[in-house]
Amino acid sequence: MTDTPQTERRALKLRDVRRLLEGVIPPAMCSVAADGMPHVNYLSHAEYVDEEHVALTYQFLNRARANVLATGRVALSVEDPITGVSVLMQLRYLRTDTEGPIFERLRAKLAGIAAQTGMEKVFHLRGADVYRVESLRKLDPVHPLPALAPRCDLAAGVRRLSEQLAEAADLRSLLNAFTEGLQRDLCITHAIVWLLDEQRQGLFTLASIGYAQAGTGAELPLAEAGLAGVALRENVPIRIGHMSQMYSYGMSWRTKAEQLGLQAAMADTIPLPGLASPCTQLAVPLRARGRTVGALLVESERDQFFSYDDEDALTAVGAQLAQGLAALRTAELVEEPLTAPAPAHSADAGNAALRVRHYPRDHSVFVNDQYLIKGVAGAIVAKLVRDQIDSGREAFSTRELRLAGGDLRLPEVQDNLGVRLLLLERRLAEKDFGLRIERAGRGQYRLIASGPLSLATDGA
Amino acid sequence: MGSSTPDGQPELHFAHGAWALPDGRMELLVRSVPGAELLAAIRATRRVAVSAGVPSTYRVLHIKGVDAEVLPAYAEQGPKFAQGFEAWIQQVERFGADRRQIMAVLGELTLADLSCVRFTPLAAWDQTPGPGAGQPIDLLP
Repeated sequence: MTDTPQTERRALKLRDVRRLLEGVIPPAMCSVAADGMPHVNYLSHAEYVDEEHVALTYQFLNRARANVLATGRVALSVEDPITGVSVLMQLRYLRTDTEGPIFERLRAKLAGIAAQTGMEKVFHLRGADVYRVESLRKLDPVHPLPALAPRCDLAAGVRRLSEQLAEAADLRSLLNAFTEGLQRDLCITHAIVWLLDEQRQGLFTLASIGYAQAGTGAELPLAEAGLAGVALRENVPIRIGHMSQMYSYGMSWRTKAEQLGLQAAMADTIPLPGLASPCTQLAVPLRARGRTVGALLVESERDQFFSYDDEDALTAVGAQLAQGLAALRTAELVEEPLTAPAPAHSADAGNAALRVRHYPRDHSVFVNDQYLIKGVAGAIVAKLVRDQIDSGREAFSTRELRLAGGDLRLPEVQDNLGVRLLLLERRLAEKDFGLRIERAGRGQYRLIASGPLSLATDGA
Repeated sequence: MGSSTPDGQPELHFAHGAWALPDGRMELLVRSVPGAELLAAIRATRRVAVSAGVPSTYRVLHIKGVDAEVLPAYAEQGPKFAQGFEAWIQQVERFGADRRQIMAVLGELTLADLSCVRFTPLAAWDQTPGPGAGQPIDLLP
């Protein structure tokens, strides 16, 4: 075999080789002591930070650590698991992060690697060592780095999805465009859109795709929210190629409740959507106007299903979704006149009655003894049912609901009313009780019952 | 295998095969052209560090030397090289690497493409992740 004398030094960029950083073959590093003695060791993981920086796991107090602190010079070799072609980087140590987004990204990846390799008791991240990449060269002069066969054309998919989002005129169509686009344009089959409830420090499911139960309205304390909670807290995409129990969401509180025999308490919870045994998860914070409004979680039953490119793609479309949610929920508060006169009361006295039970303590609402929803959305549906029984009127406006904000426990600053109504609309459609909400125009809605309504209020 | 240049820059390259000579010295094979920077550093400083691992068990051994020399690979190393190369492919295959694609890149490798690095182990350590990591390993006299 003949090697040409030139290695490729100039054209290669860190971005071109970032996928090699998460290869199945651990990266190797060579550090140098102050007296010039080299030291070689394998690393659990190297993380792409940006075009000029990588972060390496700092796990043990050892010779490599002493060398890094003494001279700051490291050579890092990463191998392509497909061909064995290597890339060598010359790095300069900058700092060690013990918290923050880079640390959390690395910690999540390490937890996944530890889970996959049975090293959960051994691998512990002390810090994320951040390095500037001073040079990189491919250590095979002849063979090009093979491109992985992509799952789909992500750039084109983002464009199509973005175009669909831009056409959405209301919250419902925005959310539909997003979830349909994830499947059609980005080939993602399991996803959950979580919204942040700042008051309750929790997340609730606004939409999901790919699960037997959509789980619309399912709630989760932020502290139990797994990867989505970390992404939201650190405001950075977090991805695990090999899942770890450490980042499974909602498991601990549910397990505890079951162990304590509190099945009764579980009756007023909506089952969380999600894969029972995901192999890969990626969580992306949803941000708009300088605020975090929620998180998108996508998952797969295949290892390493998502890549750095997915992080880029979902960050872009996630930001557009978040902007749309922020803009349209404000627009939803502006009423327009009803386009059609309210129809006569549609409830057929011959149809089965709908017995609604409301618990003001937490505003949980049951319909015909089946749990519907609680919290703000529960307070809204209880008020609408009460109003309809009292006046026979189906139509209502967001303005009315805002005026009743105190009773409904709407957060003062950002009432999210449009989103709550959309959540309620979806939850009612999912449960199919014979009770539904229809949008009749901007800021105008109707509560439609298939039979006579009754309302009982307990423990007021 | 790693080394450092006279001005302290680390160099690193994958070695194909490693074995001990009857006199206690070690030999490793490194691709001459892609490993040119490493080999130049070794020639200049004679310092080497080797991390030899078995991916499937995570067992890793670390060895250092300060008298390394770089020689042409020689015919008697052929069978050892072939054996080591096959063992490496079998290991990385367990982690999803594709033998056909590896062979497309490295399959034509011959001794003519390789250089031999020979050195006397000065000290060795257990580098297997876990509580024993960093423990020195006694060398035979």
